[in-house]
Amino acid sequence: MRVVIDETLCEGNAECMKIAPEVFVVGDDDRARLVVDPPPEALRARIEAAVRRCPRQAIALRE
Amino acid sequence: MLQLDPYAWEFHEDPYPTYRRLRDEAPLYRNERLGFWALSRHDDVLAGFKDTAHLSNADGVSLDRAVDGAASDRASFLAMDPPRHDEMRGLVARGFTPKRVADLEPHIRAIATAHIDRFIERAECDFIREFAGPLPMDVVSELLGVPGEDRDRLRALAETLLHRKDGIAGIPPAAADAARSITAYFRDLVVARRRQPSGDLASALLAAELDSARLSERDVIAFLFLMIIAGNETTTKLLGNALYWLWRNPAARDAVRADPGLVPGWIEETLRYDSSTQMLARTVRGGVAFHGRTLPDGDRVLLLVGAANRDERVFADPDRFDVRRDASAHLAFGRGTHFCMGAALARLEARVALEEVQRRFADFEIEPSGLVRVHSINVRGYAAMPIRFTPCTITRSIPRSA
Repeated sequence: MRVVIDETLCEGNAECMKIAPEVFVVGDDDRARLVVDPPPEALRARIEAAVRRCPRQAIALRE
Repeated sequence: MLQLDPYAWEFHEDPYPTYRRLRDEAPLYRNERLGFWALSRHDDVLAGFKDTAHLSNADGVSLDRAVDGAASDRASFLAMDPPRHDEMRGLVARGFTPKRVADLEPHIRAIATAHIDRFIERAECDFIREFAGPLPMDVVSELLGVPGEDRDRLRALAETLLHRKDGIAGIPPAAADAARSITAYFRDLVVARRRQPSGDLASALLAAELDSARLSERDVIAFLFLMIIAGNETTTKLLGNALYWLWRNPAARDAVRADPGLVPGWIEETLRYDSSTQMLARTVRGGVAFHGRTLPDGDRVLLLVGAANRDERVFADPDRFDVRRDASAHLAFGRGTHFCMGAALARLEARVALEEVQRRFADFEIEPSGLVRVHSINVRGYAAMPIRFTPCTITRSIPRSA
């Protein structure tokens, strides 16, 4: 599982961090990044929720 | 017969039964007379927001045509598609992230307190005209650089701009005049800031460069125009709708009074239940398929946000106002490319404003005979809302922000 964050789209709304803090963190630059890469398969459901809920649709899940 | 007329005042009174029928009977609805399609189910509206390749913003987000001589929504980044949209939005978006706007909290609370102080001893006020209207106007004006003495006039112009006549498609002359007056106002402001820059957004935009060229005067005016409408009117409506639905739901009201930590839930449920922005238009590029039909190039499509937010396919018991529910799937701020840039600011303003309401006049009563509804094809809410209350003498603690 590969998770890709589009830095040009991300505006630091931090919804991903609320849904899956083990995977996403929003830095001081107001951009989300991965805490672990690749993230563990066990967290797939919450990662998918973060992809859906991202306000700017900046997160993509690649198998 | 099932009909959706965004200009009908009767529809504005309670659009929700129409939305329900649209979702069930005509999820892809066609209005031949007014020449548009409408999508009402949550999954379709969400797909519509995400498909910027086939559903363009370039013709604006309202069914109405552009006003000649006005820098209305046709010229701002809201009326652009990627990649130009992303570049223009990128110039200002970093100033509106949740972290950046959080710094404004003490300032917003001071504005809210100052407005409440003006009417608290009267034990009554017009909640819209004396609080929900001026508060977001003050916040956005200070960001943009609009002086205090001009704000009431600009707010009145913004209200006139949105007003539509009952059942009559198109922009009334007064609304077109208001659009031109707001444009002229910002043209003067831009000229003044060019002569003497200050620390506001108008000055920053004049200095900003894109592709190593300065923004045109028209671009800057369009920016300011968008901010004063999108960044102001919608928040006013959110505050009014929040107060109204809490008043109509005694259980929710008791819950929020007992636990001010429920204010964010109250705000999110208001955004879902009775969203300020009810519908947004798009224009088909190339062709796009919904429910087995291909909509042709150039056709207009309405994304019915207000209908999506009541979709029982996503929200259980959707017509119940419940400040404790998980409302986070609501589409009040859109999703994707055009997700409301001011969402974090709107949420902060609403939280601070409604915390202060709870702290200082939690026992308010609305005078229903004095309610005046706004009649707009995009925005839903009140223009006047008289209330009575007992001023609180006990100062309750302000909850810490999350």
